[in-house]
Amino acid sequence: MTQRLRARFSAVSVFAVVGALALGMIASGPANAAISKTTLVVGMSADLDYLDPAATMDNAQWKITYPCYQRLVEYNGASTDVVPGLASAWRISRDHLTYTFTIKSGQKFSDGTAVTAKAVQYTFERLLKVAKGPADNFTAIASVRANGLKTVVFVLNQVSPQFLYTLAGNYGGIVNPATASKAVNGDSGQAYLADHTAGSGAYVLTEWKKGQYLKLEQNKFYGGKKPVLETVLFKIVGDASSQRLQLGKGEIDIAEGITSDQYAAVAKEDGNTVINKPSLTVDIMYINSGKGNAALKNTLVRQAISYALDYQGIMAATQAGNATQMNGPIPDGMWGQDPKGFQYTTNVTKAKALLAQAGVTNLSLDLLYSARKSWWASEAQLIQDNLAKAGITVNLKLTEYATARKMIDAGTFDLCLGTWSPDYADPSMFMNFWFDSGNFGLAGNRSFYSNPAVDKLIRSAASITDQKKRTALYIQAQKIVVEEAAYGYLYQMNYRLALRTDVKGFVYNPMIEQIYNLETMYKA
Amino acid sequence: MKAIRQLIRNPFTRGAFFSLCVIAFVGIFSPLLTPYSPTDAKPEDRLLPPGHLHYFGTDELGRDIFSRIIAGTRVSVGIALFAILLSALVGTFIGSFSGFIGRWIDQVIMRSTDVLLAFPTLVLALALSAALGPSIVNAALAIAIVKLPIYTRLARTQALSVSHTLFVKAAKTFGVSSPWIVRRHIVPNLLTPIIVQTSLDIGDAILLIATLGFLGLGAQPPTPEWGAMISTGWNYLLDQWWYPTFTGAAIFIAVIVFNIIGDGIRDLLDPKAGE
Amino acid sequence: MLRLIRARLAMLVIVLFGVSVITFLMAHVLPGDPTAALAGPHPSQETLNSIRSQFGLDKPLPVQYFKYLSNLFHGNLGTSIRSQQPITQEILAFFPATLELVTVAFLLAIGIGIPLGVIAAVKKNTFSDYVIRLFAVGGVSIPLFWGGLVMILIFYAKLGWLPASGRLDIELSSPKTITGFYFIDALFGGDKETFINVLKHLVMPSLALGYVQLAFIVRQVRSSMLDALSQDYYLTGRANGLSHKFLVVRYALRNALIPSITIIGLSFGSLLGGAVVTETVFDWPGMGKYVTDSILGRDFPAIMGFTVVIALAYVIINLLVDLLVYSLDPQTRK
Repeated sequence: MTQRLRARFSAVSVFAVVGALALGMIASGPANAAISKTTLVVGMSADLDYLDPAATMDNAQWKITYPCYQRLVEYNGASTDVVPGLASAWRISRDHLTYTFTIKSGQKFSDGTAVTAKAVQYTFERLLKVAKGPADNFTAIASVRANGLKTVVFVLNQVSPQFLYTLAGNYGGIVNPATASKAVNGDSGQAYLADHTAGSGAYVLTEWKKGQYLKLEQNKFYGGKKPVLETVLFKIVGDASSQRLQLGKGEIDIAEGITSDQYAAVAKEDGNTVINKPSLTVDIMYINSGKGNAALKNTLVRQAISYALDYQGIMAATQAGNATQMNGPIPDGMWGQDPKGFQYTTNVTKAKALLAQAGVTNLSLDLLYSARKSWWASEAQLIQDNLAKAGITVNLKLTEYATARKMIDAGTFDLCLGTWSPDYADPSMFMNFWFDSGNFGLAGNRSFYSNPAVDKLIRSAASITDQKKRTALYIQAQKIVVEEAAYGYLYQMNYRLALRTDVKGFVYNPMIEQIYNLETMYKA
Repeated sequence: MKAIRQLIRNPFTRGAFFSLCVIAFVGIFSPLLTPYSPTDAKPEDRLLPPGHLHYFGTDELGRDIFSRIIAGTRVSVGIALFAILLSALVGTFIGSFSGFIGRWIDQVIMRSTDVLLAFPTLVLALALSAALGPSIVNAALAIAIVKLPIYTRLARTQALSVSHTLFVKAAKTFGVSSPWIVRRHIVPNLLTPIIVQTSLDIGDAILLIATLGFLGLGAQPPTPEWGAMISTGWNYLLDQWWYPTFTGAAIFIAVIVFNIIGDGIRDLLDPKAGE
Repeated sequence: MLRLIRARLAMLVIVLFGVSVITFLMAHVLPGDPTAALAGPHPSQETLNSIRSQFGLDKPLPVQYFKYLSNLFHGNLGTSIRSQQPITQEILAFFPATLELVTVAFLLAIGIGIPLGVIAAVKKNTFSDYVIRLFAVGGVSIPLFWGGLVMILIFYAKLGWLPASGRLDIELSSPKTITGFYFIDALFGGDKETFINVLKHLVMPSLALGYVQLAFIVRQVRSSMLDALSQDYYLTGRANGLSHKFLVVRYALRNALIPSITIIGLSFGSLLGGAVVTETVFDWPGMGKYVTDSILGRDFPAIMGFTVVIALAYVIINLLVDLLVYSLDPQTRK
């Protein structure tokens, strides 16, 4: 007994000695070798969910899937226009209801099989059957038919000016029909494609260590020009400070998780650089005029709120000034924007006067937000402070994302912070989603704003294809929704990304934010 | 009074005892001690380093960190105290009745505590406060529930040992009501172990509150809760070191003071662990 | 011995049932909706409904619970809403990492804590005693999320000795899975570089987590040891001229360690939960972080699967501790 115990105790001391030795050995070990020139390491803040192009609606996952799949049409560099992708050419019928694509030859999936028109048909029929987020973008499709190996025909049930552009989105990625055999319990292969890729893009997901990293390697059968980067690793580094330290040491080449206030310091550090470009992402405040506090139904009250906001102060504190105040719902750089759109300026006296005119006193509003965006906490507190100056009490409701989303859908809030970025380069992404009274809730109209005149204008704008006429209609609608302060139009953000100076060839396209053009990037 | 004298006499607890008095003073009189408003934003003063105007610098909204830490004392420590006292009170009540009444009620209560203990503390607290909705009071309730099994079991053990003594058996035979017996004989015997346990738990509760706040499940902004302050502040560690550093130090000091006092009280009251 | 195991197994069933009911209820009173968070930036009502029905979330709660329970009996923990992967598979990926971290942290805490506790007791109320206790109590007092970051700043950023995150440098391929413990697998794999790299990654998280446990162990060992030192045999031994050192090593230590092992062993289970913050700070791909993300993402099946497994581990560990004490202490055998 005693001996056993003593043996145990000495085992403990042996362990301690071994531990001490190991520590010494570890500390004296060689420093980390630099990453090879053909390997790119991207530091990202959180692990990803699922990668099925028919299910995922999150740009964070798209950065994996986008280079692994190809689409019929592709964005052209930094431009929001599309050029031929898997389709070498296409024809649009005179009534804008039939699209006929010719498939480029020599394109192969990662298992070596050829990309055919059948694969396109399979992809879109599957996407509609899975009926998740991506299907919302293709409600216009009445049928899709392969006509031989090279031709595929889409028939639409309504005129859809943005149809071609949605095909360039991540959900337009053509999936290898061989994955049909991976289906379990009738899930159309969703479980398999959740952590595998099966496309014809330049890269293939070869390893996913949950909670650690994802690894992309080249698709041996890729039909395009062979990329320079052999391996791309997406490494999970949760903490912003850790990411910055690892970037500084060259352990990661790109740091996605840098927070707004850190960029200035990151850019100054040796070997780092920061990309800073205007984006099409806007940060807005939903003003719930349908289901929120009854006072918000009054246009004067919404105008008062818009005048009370300190736009410059908010942009300085949340984006370190890397933002532009909006003049209406459509951001700068998107066609259809009203260049002479009215811009609210901070005017507390006017805000108070408007409130008095509306006969509203002791107004108390709930401001909902989540921790989804790192700057929302500051933004919410500043708005609370701004509105207090105009005599409006704001109660902050920091809520977890999943709950906040549900509350947005149900309309159980007065004010709420949100961001919005277009899926395709069409003003309907803003005007029809935000203001159509048929889109209440998560679907887009989060202010629960309803105005029949606006409905009429934006619906007719979305049903025709003449850009000039559409612009005119949208500008008319913009004047109304700005005048009526349907949303708090805060600011258009800049896209900022911290990377090592030796990472070259990155092209930022505002339509596919967070996605890297790995095919043409390299390290010098 | 004797206990306090002993705490002061022991060099190990002396410093902690005086620090505790300071914390209590700061907590009680915090509105009088803050040089600036702990909640009003002043964007033009954001992220200023420590100096004679702002002893601990300012945060990302230009608020004085020193004032926020002072105001946060009341929030963080106060809520922890509230959570633990609530838990101790309810747990003692449930536990002593469970031990005293016995039979199937005891079985049910004990198995329920088994179930609760099988959850990791933080995970349970996290899930509970998420279920109740993020607010500081809900965080306190979550912590109270998490700590409940400990007090229930403690009280039950004591109640069992007391109810087997001759005088309680005698009282039962003479038809004395149960609440009376519990109040008269069981509760006084319970006090010592419960006090020891509470004093050891308060530090832990402060940390739990801070951790919940850190994960975004505690106080609603702009409440100056320490955990939430670190949660925002640690993104600033590399450029604005003062922001998370002083807040972290405040938590550390408060918790270590309570832990040392807890240890001291335990040594004093628990004869086995003592001299 | 058999009776002990049988009693524990009966308890296991009760606890698991209770845990499954509570987690199920708790998961479903959680406000919020995983589908609303996953359906994309602007889902239509039809899409939301379609996703809800694909996960069976549109069925009444009792139906959902019954389905969950019947799956559970078949060893099927369901499918995660966030990753669309079988939860059993995810647990197999995350659990070994947590177990490795917790085990190493625990061994470190014991290896350092027991000698410190003994010294503190033998040198009671001296300067060494105070320093040890202060050092130990520091561990339970530092907010882990704060202390962890400070460690990264010193040992990674300034000194460059240790890596900041993960279990292994990503340029190295992970060792072939034998036990799921990287440091054991790497040892068997025989690759020195991988082994050292794995150890390097383990140092900071395990020290951080182990330090939390230190106070508890030192306190426990110290008080058991004080107890042992005040008993008759020690006093008699001293009176008979036996040396203090001899008595401490020969008798007191043994008597002090048995009660300590029980209590310290039971605390192993609680460490499982304590790993949450450590894993977040050091990007350790374990259960703690996964459960946190699942709760925040309202991934009901994942929350339930993981708590059931953790509860299972907790009860089994307690059983093992009981058995250990049983084999160590002749008194409990009677």
